[in-house]
Amino acid sequence: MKTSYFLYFLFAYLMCFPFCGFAQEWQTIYAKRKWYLPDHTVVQFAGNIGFLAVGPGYSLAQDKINLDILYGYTPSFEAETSIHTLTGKFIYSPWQNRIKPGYIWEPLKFGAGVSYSLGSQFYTTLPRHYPDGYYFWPTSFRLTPFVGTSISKAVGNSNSLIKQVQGYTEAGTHDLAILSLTTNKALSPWDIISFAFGVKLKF
Amino acid sequence: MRALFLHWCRLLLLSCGYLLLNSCEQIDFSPYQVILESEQRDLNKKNLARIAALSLQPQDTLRFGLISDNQRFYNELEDVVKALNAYSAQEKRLHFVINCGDLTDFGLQEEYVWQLNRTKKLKMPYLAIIGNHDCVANGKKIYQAMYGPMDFTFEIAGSKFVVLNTNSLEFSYPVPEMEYMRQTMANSHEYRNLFVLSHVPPFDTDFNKDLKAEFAQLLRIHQVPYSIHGHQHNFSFSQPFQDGQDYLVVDTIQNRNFIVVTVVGKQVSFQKIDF
Repeated sequence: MKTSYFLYFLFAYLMCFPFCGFAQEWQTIYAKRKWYLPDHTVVQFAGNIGFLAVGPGYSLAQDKINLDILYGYTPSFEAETSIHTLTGKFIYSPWQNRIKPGYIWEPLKFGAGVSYSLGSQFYTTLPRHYPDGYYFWPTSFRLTPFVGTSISKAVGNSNSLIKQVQGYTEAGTHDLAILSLTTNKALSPWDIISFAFGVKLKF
Repeated sequence: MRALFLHWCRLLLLSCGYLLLNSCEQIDFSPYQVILESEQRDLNKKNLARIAALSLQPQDTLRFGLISDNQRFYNELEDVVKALNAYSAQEKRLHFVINCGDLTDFGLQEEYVWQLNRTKKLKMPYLAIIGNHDCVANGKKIYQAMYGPMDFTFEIAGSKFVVLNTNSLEFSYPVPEMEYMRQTMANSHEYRNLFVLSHVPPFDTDFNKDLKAEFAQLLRIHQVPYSIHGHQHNFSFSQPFQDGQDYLVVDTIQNRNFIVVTVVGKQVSFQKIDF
C-alpha cells in the first residue's frame, strides 16, 4: 500500500514540469496581466482537501491575503471510492520577513478552507426520506481551518512568468473533528491534527 | 531557474515522503477517505476465528457482553472497556462482546479508528454491528473494510447468532435483507438457541415499515430467546408486539451501563450492569 503512495507522489512531481517549460512563452503573451488572471498557482499534498489539490489563486492586500481555488483528488486506494473535492481557501499572512536577499519567511499564517465533496453519498440538505433534523450536519461541505508557515524564494527576473516559488506547510483539521475533540477528554488535539505540504508558484 | 525549482520540489517531496512513510496518522487526504492498515481490516472475521477457537461445547455455559451507541462518547467508551475487562476477570468470564451499532457519529474513518483504538483493549473477542450513523457519507465502505459484511452469522456453544443490517433509511434498496434472514434462520432447529441482533429494532419508526411484520413473525416462528438491538439510547426489555416475543434494547454507553447475557442450555438470562 505504501508504495502506491509513492507512485502518486511521482505523478505529482512530474506534473510540475510543464510550468517551467512554458514559462518563457507565457510571459510574452501576458505582459500585463488582466485582473482575472491568477496571481499564483498551487499544488498541495494532503490537508483534508484531497491527496493532491491543484488550482489557481489570487493575492490581495500586498500578499497578506491569498484566496486559492483548488480541485482535490483522493484516490480510492482499496475501497473503490475516489473523492473529488472543490475547495475555496482563505489564507491570512500578517508577517512577512525578508530573512536574506531573495528569501521571504512568513512565520505564521492562519486560514480556513470551505470544501465541497462531490458524490451521491454526500448531501447538502438532508434527503427527504429522513425525518426532520435526523442528521444535523451536511456531509458535502467541510470547514478546514489551519495554521501554517512558508518560505518564498525569488526566481528568474522581472520578465519571468514565475517570479517566486513558495514552499509551505500547514497543520489543520476540520469542523467535525473539532466537535469531537471539544466534547471528549479522551481525545487529544494531536488526534485531530494533520499536516499538509504545498508549493505555490507566484507570477 | 528550472534546476532550482526542481531542487525545491525534490526537497519537498522527500520530506513529505519521509513523513508519510513514518506517520500516516498525521496525514489526512479527506475526512471521507478510506485507507486502512491491514491490522484494521476484516476485524469481525478475525474475531469470529478467535470465538471459534474457544471451542465451546453445547453443554458449556456461554456468556457475552452487549454495548451500543458509543458514537461520540469516547470517555465512556474507555470506561466501558475497562469495566468489561474487569467484569470478565473478577466476576464471570465473558466469551465475547458485541457492539449493537453506531460506532461513530459522522461515519468518518478517523472516528472508526478512534473507537477501534479503544475497543481493541478488550481482552475478549469484539464484534461490531453497523448502525445508521456508521452508514453516513463513506461510512458503509469503511465499515465493510474494517469489520466486513453488514449481515453475518456465527455459531458457538450450540447457539446461532444472526446479525442483520436494519438501517432501512440509509439504503436505496429494501433493508433488512429478508431473503438472507429467512435462509439463515431456516435451520434453527439444529441449535439450542437462535439470537437475532441488529441496530434498529423492528418496532422503531426508522425500521422499514413494510418489512416489520415479517421480521417479527420470523422471530416468533423460530422462537428467538431475545431479539437484540440498540439505536434508542435507552434500555428496554419488552414485548412491543404483544406476541410473547422478547426484545432487548441495549442502552447507549453514554448512560453508563452494559448487558451481560448468560446462556446455559436453553436457559437464557441477562443482567444490566452499571459502570
